[in-house]
Amino acid sequence: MACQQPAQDTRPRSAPTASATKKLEPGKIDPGQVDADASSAQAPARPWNAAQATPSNAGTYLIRVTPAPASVPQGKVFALEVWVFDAKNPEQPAADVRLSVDADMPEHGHGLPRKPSVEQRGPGHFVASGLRLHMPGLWEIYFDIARGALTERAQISFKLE
Amino acid sequence: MTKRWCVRARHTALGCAALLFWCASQASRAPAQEPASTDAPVEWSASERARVLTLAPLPPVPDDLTNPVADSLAAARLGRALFFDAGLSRTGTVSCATCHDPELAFADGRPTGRGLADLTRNTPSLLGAAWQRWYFWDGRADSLWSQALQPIEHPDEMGSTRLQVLRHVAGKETLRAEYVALFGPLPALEDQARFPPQARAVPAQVGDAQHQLWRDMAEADRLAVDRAFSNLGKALAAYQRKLVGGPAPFDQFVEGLRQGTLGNPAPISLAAQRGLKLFVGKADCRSCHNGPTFSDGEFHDVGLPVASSGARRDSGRFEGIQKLRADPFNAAGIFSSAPKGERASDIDYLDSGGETWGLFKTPSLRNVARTAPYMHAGQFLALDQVLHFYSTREGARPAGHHGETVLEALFLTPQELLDLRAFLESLSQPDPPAEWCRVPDAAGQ
Ligand code: HEC
Ligand code: HEC
Repeated sequence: MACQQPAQDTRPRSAPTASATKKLEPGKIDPGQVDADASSAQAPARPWNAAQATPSNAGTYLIRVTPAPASVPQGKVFALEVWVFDAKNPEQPAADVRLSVDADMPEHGHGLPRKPSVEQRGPGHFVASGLRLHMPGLWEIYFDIARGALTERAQISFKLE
Repeated sequence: MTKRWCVRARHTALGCAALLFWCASQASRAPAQEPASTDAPVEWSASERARVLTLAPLPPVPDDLTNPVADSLAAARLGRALFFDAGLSRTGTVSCATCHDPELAFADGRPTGRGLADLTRNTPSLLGAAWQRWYFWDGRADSLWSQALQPIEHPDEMGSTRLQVLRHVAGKETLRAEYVALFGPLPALEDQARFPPQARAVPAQVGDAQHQLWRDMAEADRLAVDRAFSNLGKALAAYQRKLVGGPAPFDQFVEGLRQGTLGNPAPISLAAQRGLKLFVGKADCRSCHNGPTFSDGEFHDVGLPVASSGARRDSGRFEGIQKLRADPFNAAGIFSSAPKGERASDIDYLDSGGETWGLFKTPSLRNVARTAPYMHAGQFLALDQVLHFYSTREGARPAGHHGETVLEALFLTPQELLDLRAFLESLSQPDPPAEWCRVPDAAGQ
């Protein structure tokens, strides 16, 4: 997918929030570096991270999510930059979609004490800010993508040390 | 135990499959180990070591942008004078230090506090209060200065009113001079028609005549009183920011672990080290008691047994959020110097639904061995009882409602319980400098 012709999106990569400048936690990996085989050296710059994509639960959408700072800190506020695509058109951000973001700790039976706020930056482009994962353990982050009256969820789960 | 580990391992695999890059740092948890003999040295795996290093040192006192005098020495001195002054109470008998006694780690040693009357909650220690994100067990205050205003007017604590307290400050030359130097002139309290001494901003009961006196005051005068009252809170906060103890033996241990120079003997006993291993490992206390304050700064229901008296259940965070939002002295209000800051913006986004019912703040565990009894209503008199509860979950309300489903009986051995206690005891810090533990005498000593 990373080798397909990109859409002609030349907008500069926007820094989601001021916290993007926060120091990365030692020992954590910048998602940008994980993609070993994506021949990203030749790939033209896109505002999103083309190296990863998560399908929504019924397969209608793909989301690309970049945390800022790049490794999600425990107990500190961070933001998520989210790009939403129609699965059929993974190089063109989806128009007419709305996004809400939440998180949950399934092992503990609770979620976030403070709800993140989501701001739309452009078609299919959102920044969720004010997230704070207060506990180590398994977290699920939910991305509810709405178009018209229909909402579909994409989710990412990971373990915070 | 084995089951617990397996459950976690499965989730790790799932999580990693779903999103590789977030898992890169997820060191797999060490398997449960055979109990070590009590004099064997304690070995630290890389992941245990990494977890332990997150627990110390305590960073510098965090900024409080809502309080412009937070770091003023003059304000801290005024705050100290106020803290020990029983003249702030209606009867002249109760000061902050009555309940937050410097000899008792700034707590009171009672299950629940007692001022002019008995309270329903346990008095927390003020050591390290400056690091807290929320104040009170229900987090109904979002700054140290707005917190300080509440006990003064609480009928069961100090029972005074903001007008009375300001009159007290105006009438005591040293207080008055220090106040004016910091904040400028006090309201014209001598004009009793404009500022009736009996006026009470917070009604003591429905149809309170004294409250009507307050309502009848000119709005600008009420505002001037509120501003001056908030200034007293800001001085009290500046003082409490000085209540910082020296490094605990545990802090020295972590420093040694960081540098690779543990020393012989190590700063904490082998028992305490084994307890630490449990704390960050199979007892999983650090889920909630994390970071150098040993608190996630959030609210949980650990399933404490319900009092058999049938007393009304404490709704904890649920009402705490409503009170916070209604508080004119909150971080978003006109008396805050950062009404658009991060603290202020949190107020709107807090999840205030029914699932916050009965949650209480995770207390710091620093100095915990000095602050018995424990829990929000002093439910446990001694640390051993707390540990017994976490180990057996005897009497615990079943999780599932708002409770933490992660809390399961740990079935710790008697030796493990002793080890955990030894670890908690290693968190006791030397007291703050003596000058902050009492009012200086006339010579300023
Ligand atoms: C009558 C006893 C009493 C008096 C007097 C009193 N307090 Fe407290 N204090 C308590 C109790 C009990 C709590 C917990 C109440 C709650 O959570 O609802 C508390 C909570 C606090 C907290 C929050 C600590 C935390 O970790 O959340 C601070 C800070 C504090 N008091 C400072 C003060 C100051 C400053 C004064 C004087 C203006 C004062 N207190 C007067 C009993 C008292
Ligand atoms: C799910 C989060 C959570 C976990 C896990 C947890 N605690 Fe707590 N702890 C709390 C909360 C919340 C309170 C206050 C509860 C209340 O008063 O209602 C508390 C209270 C305490 C207290 C009393 C402190 C005081 O000043 O009153 C001690 C001691 C303590 N915990 C130790 C531990 C130990 C040891 C472990 C591991 C065996 C542990 N905790 C695991 C959340 C947690």
